[in-house]
Amino acid sequence: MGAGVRTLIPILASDSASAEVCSFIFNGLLKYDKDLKLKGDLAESWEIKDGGRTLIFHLRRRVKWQDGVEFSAQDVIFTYQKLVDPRVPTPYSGDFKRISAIKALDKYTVEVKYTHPFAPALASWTMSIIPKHLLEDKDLSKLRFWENPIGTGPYELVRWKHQQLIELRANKNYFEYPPFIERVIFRIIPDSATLFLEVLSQAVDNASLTPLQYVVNAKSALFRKNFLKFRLPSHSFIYLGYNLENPLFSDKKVRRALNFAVDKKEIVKSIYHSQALVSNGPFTPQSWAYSESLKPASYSLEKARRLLEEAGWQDRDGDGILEKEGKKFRFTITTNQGSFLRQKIAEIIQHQLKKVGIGVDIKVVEWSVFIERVINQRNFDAVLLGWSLSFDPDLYDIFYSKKTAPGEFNFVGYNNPEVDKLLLAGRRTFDREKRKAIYTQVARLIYEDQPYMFIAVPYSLSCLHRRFRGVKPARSGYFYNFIDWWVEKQERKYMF
Amino acid sequence: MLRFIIRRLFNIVFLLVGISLVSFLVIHLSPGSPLGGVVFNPKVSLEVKAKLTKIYGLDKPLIQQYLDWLRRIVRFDFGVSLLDGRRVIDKIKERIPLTLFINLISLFIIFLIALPLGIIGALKKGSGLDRAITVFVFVGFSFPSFWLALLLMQALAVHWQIVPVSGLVSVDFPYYSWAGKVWDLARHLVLPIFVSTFGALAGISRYVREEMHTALSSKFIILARAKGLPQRLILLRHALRNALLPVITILGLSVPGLLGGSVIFETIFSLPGMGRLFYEGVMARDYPLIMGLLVIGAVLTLLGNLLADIGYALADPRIRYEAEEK
Repeated sequence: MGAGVRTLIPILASDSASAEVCSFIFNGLLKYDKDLKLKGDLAESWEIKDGGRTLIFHLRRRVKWQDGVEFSAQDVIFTYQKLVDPRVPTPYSGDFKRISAIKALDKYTVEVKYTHPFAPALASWTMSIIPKHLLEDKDLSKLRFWENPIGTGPYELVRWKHQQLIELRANKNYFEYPPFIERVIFRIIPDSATLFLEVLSQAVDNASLTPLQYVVNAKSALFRKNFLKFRLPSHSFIYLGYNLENPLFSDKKVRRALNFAVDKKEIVKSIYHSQALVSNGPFTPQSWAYSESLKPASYSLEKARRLLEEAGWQDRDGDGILEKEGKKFRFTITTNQGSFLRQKIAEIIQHQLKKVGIGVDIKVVEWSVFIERVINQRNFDAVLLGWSLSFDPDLYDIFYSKKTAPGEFNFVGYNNPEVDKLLLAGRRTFDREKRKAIYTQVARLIYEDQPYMFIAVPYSLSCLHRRFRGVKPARSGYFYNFIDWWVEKQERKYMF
Repeated sequence: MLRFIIRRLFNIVFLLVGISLVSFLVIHLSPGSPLGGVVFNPKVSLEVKAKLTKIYGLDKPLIQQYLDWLRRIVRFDFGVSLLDGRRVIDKIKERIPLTLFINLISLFIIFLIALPLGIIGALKKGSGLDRAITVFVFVGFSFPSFWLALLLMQALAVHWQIVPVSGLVSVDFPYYSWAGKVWDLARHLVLPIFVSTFGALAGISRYVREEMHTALSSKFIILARAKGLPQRLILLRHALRNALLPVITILGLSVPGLLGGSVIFETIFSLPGMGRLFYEGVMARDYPLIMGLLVIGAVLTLLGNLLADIGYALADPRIRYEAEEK
């Protein structure tokens, strides 16, 4: 892992390292299976009633917390109460605020009522459940750091050396069956070059790789002898978001022209060493809402020039930059510091737009300042950013026309009444096929409107030591069946 | 001497309050907020942001926040990190031993090597040996430490597998015997200490060389020679003692540095030191943590200066008498 784990209280974990470790120790009511479909975890089954206003979860029986106490409906209700408690600093209360009532029908049945049908609600119950008997008398507004987390998951905590490592041990009483791999150790190695050397020296068994490492460094015989490499589209995309209040970008023709003028294949090739896909809209191939029928616009300087001319932009004074009504077409791309890839992408866009007569400046701003001064105050022409989205395809927060207050996420100011209507419908529809049809339409409209220039979906690249057996890569990656993995006796490195 | 020290200590207290106020204002007035990293997630609603702002006490007036902080700090309560909710003092405490240990060892080795190098350079100034030493220390100085580190890791850890690549101890450290633990720690620290030492030889050895050269060509050394004192005595008692005066200053100034790690160095070697703690604190705008580190840094800097002054007074009678006359 690159960054240290901040907390092992899952409802407070907002960073990816914490969430990853928590997922070994805790369970939600539901989880995503190998094909990224929701399936029961702590809940054995569930019912959707009243057209989506009521969810009923039937919990697994005889599940024990790692300290031996039995898990019950009370833990689920407790977790909910903490998620919506105004004194608990959790970033996840949004989806749970829509619950109007929650109660235990019996020890193993929970009924949740919503004010309106809310399709993303089901996915929100992948949230890890925390033990009531241990955290009830703790003040979660003060306690964000819990030394001995106790969950229901396949692994339990052995030791936690801050900024160094976290060691987990197999939970012998795990409700499915105990995992075969006895220990899991997460090491914190912040530098990617160091991490790769650790891989080569076989001190690390599983690590993420940069595109360059995946393509070039992984060719070495030493690497290939000991490691398998894996590639999967990530659940994120890189985009150039326009400030739609800026007169430069208010014309859809101009935005479409820019889309034609930037060669995304070139970006994928030179920046990602071909370890990315050209993005076709707000969904990634990993999402069930992704539609293959939507094709990204292909690179065409000619179309770009024609659209710009139709929009009234022409180079009248021959300085290589277009003008309209005496104003030059010149804008600034702002991106955040710390992402080398994004800075390089901005430079390629700068270079390519110059060919159609558009001048681009690049500004790089430190992350915290970027959020506060650039995004929240809508103080930008265009921002180069990425979204990592949850598995539920709801795009309401990003593209709904009213989500534009400072601190909300439609910071480009996108407004299309038809998209608004579809986004609302998508939240109310539980049937996956119907929902998919809605989101295909949403994606089509958004791609046509080009509030973002959709650039690329990077692959997540990683490697795993060959001595692990039982690894079966699937759509969701290869960790979903981790408790089934094993290592042959003669290949075991550590004995406990 | 005692009055001199007491007066200086008294000044330090005032300076500290001033430093803390200025630091507090600067870090709070600089753009960005501790919520920045947490809340750039569409699942985080506006209400949640307002809630977090309130929980962290960021909605109070700045001067109120400072007074709250000051009230806590006089009771040595550094507050709680906004990032993970742990006590700031715990976070700092767990980083100090490693950083201090590496820095002390490096400093010791640096002086152990740089002093003789400097003295030899001064004695044989302009000779082939002197030039060779100069080249050697400047190569160390010019090598980017991260690059040198990666090259050494590639060679020693991956190719020959003599030492581990990075980290402080092996993952199965707790299961080792006592001697095994020491050996494991030593193996892990060889590379970091070598890299941090190699780059710092130039500074000290150059200082010593110049000062020693000046001392050796001064009149009292000529007098000592004329008196027929043995070379060893001239060098060690007369020349070196004078040459070391500025070095004492450097030692004093390196006291706060003993607890200040280096971000790049710690990142490359995956070491949990003070440098990364501070860097991550600043990036996340973890105000209580930054303030805690700044105050500790300020105290050490001021104490280091005081120690250097005392060291001066002990080594140089002129300064000692001046201080006493006042």
